Amino acid sequence: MTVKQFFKSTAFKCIITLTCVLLVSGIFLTIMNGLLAVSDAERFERAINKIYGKSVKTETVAVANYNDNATIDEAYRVKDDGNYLIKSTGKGGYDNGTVTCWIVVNVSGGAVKGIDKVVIESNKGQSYIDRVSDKALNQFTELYTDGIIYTQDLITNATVKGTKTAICNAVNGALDFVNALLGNVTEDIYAEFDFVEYIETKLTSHEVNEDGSITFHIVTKGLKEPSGFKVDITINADGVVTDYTVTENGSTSNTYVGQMHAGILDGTLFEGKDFAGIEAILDNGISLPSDNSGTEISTGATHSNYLCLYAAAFATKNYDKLIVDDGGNEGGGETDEGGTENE
Amino acid sequence: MNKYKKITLDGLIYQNPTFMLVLGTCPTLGLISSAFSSMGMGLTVLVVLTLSNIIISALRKVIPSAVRIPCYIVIIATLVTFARMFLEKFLPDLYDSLGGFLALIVVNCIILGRAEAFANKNGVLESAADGIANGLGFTVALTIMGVICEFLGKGSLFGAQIMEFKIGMLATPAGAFLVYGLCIAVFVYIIDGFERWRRVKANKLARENLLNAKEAA
Repeated sequence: MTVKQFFKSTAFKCIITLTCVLLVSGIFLTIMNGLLAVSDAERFERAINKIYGKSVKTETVAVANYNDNATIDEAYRVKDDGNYLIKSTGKGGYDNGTVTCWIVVNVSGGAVKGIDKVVIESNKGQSYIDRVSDKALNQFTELYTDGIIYTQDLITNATVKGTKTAICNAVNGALDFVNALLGNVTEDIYAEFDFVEYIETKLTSHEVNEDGSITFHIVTKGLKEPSGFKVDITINADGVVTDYTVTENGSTSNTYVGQMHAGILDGTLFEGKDFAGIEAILDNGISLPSDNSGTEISTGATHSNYLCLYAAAFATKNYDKLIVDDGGNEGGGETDEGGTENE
Repeated sequence: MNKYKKITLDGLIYQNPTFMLVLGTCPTLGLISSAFSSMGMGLTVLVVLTLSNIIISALRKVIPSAVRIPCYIVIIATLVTFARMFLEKFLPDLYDSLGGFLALIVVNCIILGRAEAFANKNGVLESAADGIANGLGFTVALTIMGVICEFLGKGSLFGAQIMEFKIGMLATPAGAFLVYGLCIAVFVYIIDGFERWRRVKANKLARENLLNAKEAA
């Protein structure tokens, strides 16, 4: 084919036509993009408007993290009313997922007065996020009291423990951040204890009994599928577990509760054992075994079993830190009538 | 029959893209759990379809047959991108509620189907009328199903809560599939009934005319 023939061919016509259509489309869209593009500022304004319910002026606040279970992504002070608008990502969701929420923290007189609104922004791996209804989110506002730490069992109208845990962590993280910003920091007496990786130290408390034993009310974090467990453990003066009761089972469903180690469910696996005895249950210290590693707690609900074992390890290992010292004071917290509470 | 009337009736009823031709099923099943989203999707398709029909009809003699489909796709994609920009700028709530289905209008077979079957062979005005009629047919069908699904599935209408009773399944794509099937059945039944009634009426008229003619003879 000669050059002349090519220019007269259908192929050339097709190329020209397609090129023209593409060029015109491209030019049209470029012009339209210039006219209709939504700027970042406008997008932010809209997001704030949607969350806050009205158009407000905000100023950016430098972010910092005061809660291990949440990451503060963005923070704004609303100039109109002094409230804080926090974008917080809560950890500990189902399968180690996260939920990012916008939280409006009501502030008045230099102190947090409540939660005005919680809006879910996004999530990672929470396939049942739709089960968290608006009614469930409204409970953060309704249940607020000074010093509250939200836990998934407080929130009803949603059946997903892991996802609710992540949302609660996001809200708790936002509250801790604003409280820290306002200078109202709560002391965490267990922060320096051993085996706190899977323990909700701010939700855990203990009391000293008349016979010198200590009863821990432990709240664990979630681990992969299971969400947090609540366990009451009593340690006697010799550092031995005398009573072990699971008060709230964090397993995903009854199927997994059924697959848990029977001795963990009724406490017999730990009762009568000190830290060395509990450590001996696993081959490699207190490390998470795999589901098929053949340890005693590898039962098909290994993560649930492990959280319970971890709670027992926490209680037995740290018992001596809470024993009353020579001066009559305990190792941490304030002395109260019935013992010591971490609130 | 006036050709515009025929085009309109075909698009709205006799060749309704949703109920009769079962085209554009993807957004139909994905969005009819909300009446607002359904109507928004319908109106967006109406605008894109009308504009694409007009442009393709105007360019039908310029575009070589061998590259007509790529050209149609570029034109439709441009219009859909424009629609997305417009909605994001001026109707952000609708833009958010339509989500990924908005971009999928590019491959909506109603639009490409009308471009290939009608706009490619007819004048600009007829193509515009065809686009409006088919777009309206799609919008009305989606809105009807959206209202049914939202009312029964969520107990609300266009977002306003009406009642507490709800059949949650109807607010899911599976429920939408059920409602879609039932709507097609009802629509076809009505059209069939109407056609039967028209035929009977025409036969009766013809018989009377024949008798009159015989009597006159």
